[in-house]
Amino acid sequence: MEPQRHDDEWAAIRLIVRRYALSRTRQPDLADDIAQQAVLNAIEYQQNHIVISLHALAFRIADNLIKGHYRRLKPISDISEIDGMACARPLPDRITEDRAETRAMLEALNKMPPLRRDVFMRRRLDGQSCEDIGRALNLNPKAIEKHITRALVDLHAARRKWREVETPDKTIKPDNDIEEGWAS
Amino acid sequence: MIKVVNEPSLLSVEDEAAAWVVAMMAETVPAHTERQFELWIKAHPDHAQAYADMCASWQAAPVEDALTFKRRQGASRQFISVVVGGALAACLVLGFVGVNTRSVMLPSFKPQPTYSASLMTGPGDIQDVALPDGTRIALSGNSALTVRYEGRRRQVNLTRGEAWFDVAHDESRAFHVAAGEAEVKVVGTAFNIDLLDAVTTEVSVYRGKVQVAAGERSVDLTLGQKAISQNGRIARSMFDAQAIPDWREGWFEAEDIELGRLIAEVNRFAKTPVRIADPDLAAKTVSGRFKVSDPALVLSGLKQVYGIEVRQGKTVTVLTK
Repeated sequence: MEPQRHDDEWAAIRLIVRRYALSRTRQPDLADDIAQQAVLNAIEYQQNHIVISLHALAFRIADNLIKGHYRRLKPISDISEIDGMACARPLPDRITEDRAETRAMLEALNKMPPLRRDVFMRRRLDGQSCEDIGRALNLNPKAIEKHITRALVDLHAARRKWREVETPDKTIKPDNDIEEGWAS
Repeated sequence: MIKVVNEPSLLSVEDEAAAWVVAMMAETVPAHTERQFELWIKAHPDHAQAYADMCASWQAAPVEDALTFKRRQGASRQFISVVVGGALAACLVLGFVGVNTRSVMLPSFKPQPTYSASLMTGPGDIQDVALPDGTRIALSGNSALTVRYEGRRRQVNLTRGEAWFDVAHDESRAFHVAAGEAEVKVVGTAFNIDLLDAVTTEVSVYRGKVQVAAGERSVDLTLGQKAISQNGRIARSMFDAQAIPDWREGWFEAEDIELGRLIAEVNRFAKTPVRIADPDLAAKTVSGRFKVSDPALVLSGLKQVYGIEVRQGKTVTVLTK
């Protein structure tokens, strides 16, 4: 019964990582592969290391896999200048879609209070830490975290609205739920 | 995780998920934060889903593109609202991730407000909380207490584990802590209470003076004194009050301490609970300075020094002779 519980835990992690990978890549097959690989790597890793959060570990590995995937796919054609935006994403068939989504994100950014936007930009685009931003703006790092969180919630809401979908990934059927989820 | 009972949670699951994404994206994530994260994400399937979605929004390439575009657009304009916004933001520091600081930071200038809260921590999860009167409580892992301020009485019940108190001075409202059979009464002071089991309580005073009562008896303790109350008896002794309690740094100092007691400390940090197979072994005494915040280290030490067998199961770790 104990190994069973263990398996269940990994299955749950695989499912949630898949949901994450799917939301990022919008390719069900790729999301399957990434989730599968992330869990295998995580299982191997935790055999030799002390891991506090298996979820955090699996997400981190999935991030690296997604990054690696796109790095391999990076095309030669110049898609880095679209409407004057730097864009490192490689799948040409998704560019139009992404441009529309980017416009939606831009709208959400425009609606934000300037401070919230500035703080989020420093964190997300420049990679400054909350402590650094706090020092620069003379604010408590906790307050900075709060601003970034608000900004993320705003962008997430806009992104979800733009995609006009509810994505109930509770059913474990690998693909069916996805198609309807991302058709737009 | 801390739960404040008197107010419904102000944060939606999405808000919590966003806060966790921001916390987990930091360059370095403290171990206790990661532990809390794992507890949170496993607490409910909705949490995991919300986190996955929110994390994807954080990483989404369109977000990055939009930011880059905005940056270029804005580069030509002046940015003037930072100072005003900053001042405003300073007033808007709200609660964060389960720790519902909003209600704990209720303004203290209200006349004698009634206030109640219930705090709980999981293993390895130490929480520092400020109460409305300025009193601070640090709750050790796997511990629980309730707070009730009413009229002229500030009452805390420690129902499990261990807590450190730094009580704001207020002669008009005495501060009482009930822990097991012991009752501690203070005016303004700093002290630690360790509820070892239902009938054993250890109280250590780091500043000021407290009165410990158990059954018919009571003793006054001052700086550097500690008392163990057990089955209505109170024994007083001295300790080094220069440092803060060891557990706040994850250490436990044992001098001929029963293994059972040490393992109780370890269990405040262990993700997998540690059990002792038989009472004889639990009564065996051990000595040393143990990093109880790192259960694996303690257990391997016990194995090496005392020859105690450690059997690592999936849901429980068992110690045998």
